[in-house]
Amino acid sequence: MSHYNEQLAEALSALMDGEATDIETRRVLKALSSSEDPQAQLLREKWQRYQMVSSIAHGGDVSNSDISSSIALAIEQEDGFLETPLKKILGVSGRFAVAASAALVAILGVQQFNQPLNLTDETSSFALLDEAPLDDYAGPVNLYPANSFLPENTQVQAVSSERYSEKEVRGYLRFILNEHALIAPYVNSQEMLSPARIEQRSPAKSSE
Amino acid sequence: MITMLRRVRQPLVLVLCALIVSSPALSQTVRSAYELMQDMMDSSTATNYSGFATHEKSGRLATLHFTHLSRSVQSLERVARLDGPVDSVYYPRWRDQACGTAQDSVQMGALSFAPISNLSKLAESYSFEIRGQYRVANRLSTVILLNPKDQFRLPYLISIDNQSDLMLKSVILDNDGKPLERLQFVNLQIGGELDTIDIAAEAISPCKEVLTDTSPLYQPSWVPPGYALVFAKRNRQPNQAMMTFSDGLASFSLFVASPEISTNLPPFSSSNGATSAVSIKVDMGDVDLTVSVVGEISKETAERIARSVMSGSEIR
Repeated sequence: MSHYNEQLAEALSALMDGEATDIETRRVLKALSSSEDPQAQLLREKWQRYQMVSSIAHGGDVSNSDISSSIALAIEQEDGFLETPLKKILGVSGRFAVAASAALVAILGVQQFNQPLNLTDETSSFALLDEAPLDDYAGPVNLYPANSFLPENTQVQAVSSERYSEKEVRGYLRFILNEHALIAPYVNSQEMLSPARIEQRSPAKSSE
Repeated sequence: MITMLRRVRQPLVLVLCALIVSSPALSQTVRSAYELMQDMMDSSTATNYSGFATHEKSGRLATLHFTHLSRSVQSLERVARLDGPVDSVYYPRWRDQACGTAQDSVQMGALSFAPISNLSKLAESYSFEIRGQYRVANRLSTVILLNPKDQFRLPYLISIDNQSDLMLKSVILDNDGKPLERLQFVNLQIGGELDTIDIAAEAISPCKEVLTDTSPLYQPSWVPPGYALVFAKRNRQPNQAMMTFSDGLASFSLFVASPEISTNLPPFSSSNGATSAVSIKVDMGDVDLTVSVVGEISKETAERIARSVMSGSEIR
C-alpha cells in the first residue's frame, strides 16, 4: 500500500470513529468523489464495510445502502427504447432458446425445506455406510451418534436429469451436513469460540 | 486564583488516575485485541458459567441454554435448546486436555494432522481489530472484528465481556459484512454453585485411541492457506472417504462418495446460514465420483477444493 493510500485509509477510519480532522475529512471526500479512480471504488467499498460492521456492532439493522454503483451499471447496460427489426427477432428467438434449455435441464430449484422432516430413514441409509461407529472416531471425542435431520430452511439447488431423484439428493445432503456437524464443534481449539458455531442435532438421548 | 489552581491540581491528577485505573471500560483499552482474544480463550477454558442465549440463522431464532463446567484439565459443555422438540440438545462436549495431542505427529499420505492449538496460528489467517464497546446481557463488552486475511474464510464479530473475558456475542458475516448467523447471550451466571457441583460420571468420556488412515484413497491437492487436516476416516463402503480441515475457527469437511452412490447423485449446491455445501462430479480416471465439500466457507472456495481432489495414487 502506498503512503497516500495508507493516509487515506487512516483518514477513513478516523472519519468513521468521528475523530477526523478537517483535512482528513476533505481528503476522504475528495477521493470518494472521483468516479473513475479504482482507488475511489476500493475506498467506497471499505466505507461500506466499516458502516456495516459499526451497525452490527451496535445492534442496528444492516442495510447495503450504497447502491449508486449498481444503479449506474444498470443504467449503462440498459438497452435503448428504439429496437431494430433484427434485434426484435433475436430477442424473440432468444426467449425460445431459454425456454428450450430450461426444458432440457430440469432444475430441482431452490427449495425451502420448511416441512417437518420425516426423512431420517434416508439419512440412516447413508449413515449405515460408515465403517465404524462414532465412538471409534479417530478425531475429537464424540459422545453421541449421528441421527440428525436437515436444518430447516436449507436451500438446495441441483441441476438434474430424469435419472436423479430429489429424495436421494436431500438424503445425501442431510448425511454430509450431519457428518460435518458431528466433527465441526470439536476441531477448534478455541473453546469459547465454539459456541460461534452451533450445529443442529437430533433430540437428545435419554442418557443425556 | 493561580495559587488555588496549583493547590488543587495535584489531587485532581491523582483522582483522575484512580478513575482511569478503576474503570473497567477505560482499563480495557489498555489490552490489545490479540491480548483480549488470548484472555478470552484462557477464561473460557477455566471459568464455570451458564447462561441463556439466542441463536439466529437463516431468519430463524432459537433459544439456548449453555452450561460450561471446568475441572482442572477437563471440561464439560452442554448446550440445550429451549424451543422446538422437547429436551433437544445441540451437543454435549467433554474435553480432556490430556487427550487429543496424539494426532500431533501423524502423517496421512502427503497431508499431516496439525491441530490448531494456539492463537498465533489463528492470527496467521485473521487480523483482530477492536471495534468499540457494546453492552450484551447487561454487561459491558469489547467488540472485536476477526477479519480474514484472504477471501477463503468469513469474518467474525465477537463481543468479549470486560469483566470475565467470556464471549458474549458472536456474529458470522459474509464477505460483504452481512450477518449470516448470530449468537448472543441474554444473561450469564459465573461461578457460584457451578464451581462445586459434580459432573455426572456418564458425561465423562475416556480418551479415544487415535486411528488414522495412513494411505488415503483421495486427497485434495489444494486447500486454502491456514487450513490443516484435523480428522479423517474411511467409510465401510469401498472408495468412500471423509476428511475435515480447520483453520482454528472455521472448518470444512470433504466427502468422496462411492461409485454406486455417485451414480445416483447430480451436482448440487446448498447453503444454510454460514454453512455452504457444494457437490460436483470429479473424473478419477476410470470413473466419475461425487466429491462434496461442506463448511463455513464460500461456495466458490468449496468448489475449488472439490475440483482439486485426486486419487491417493495420483498424489503419491
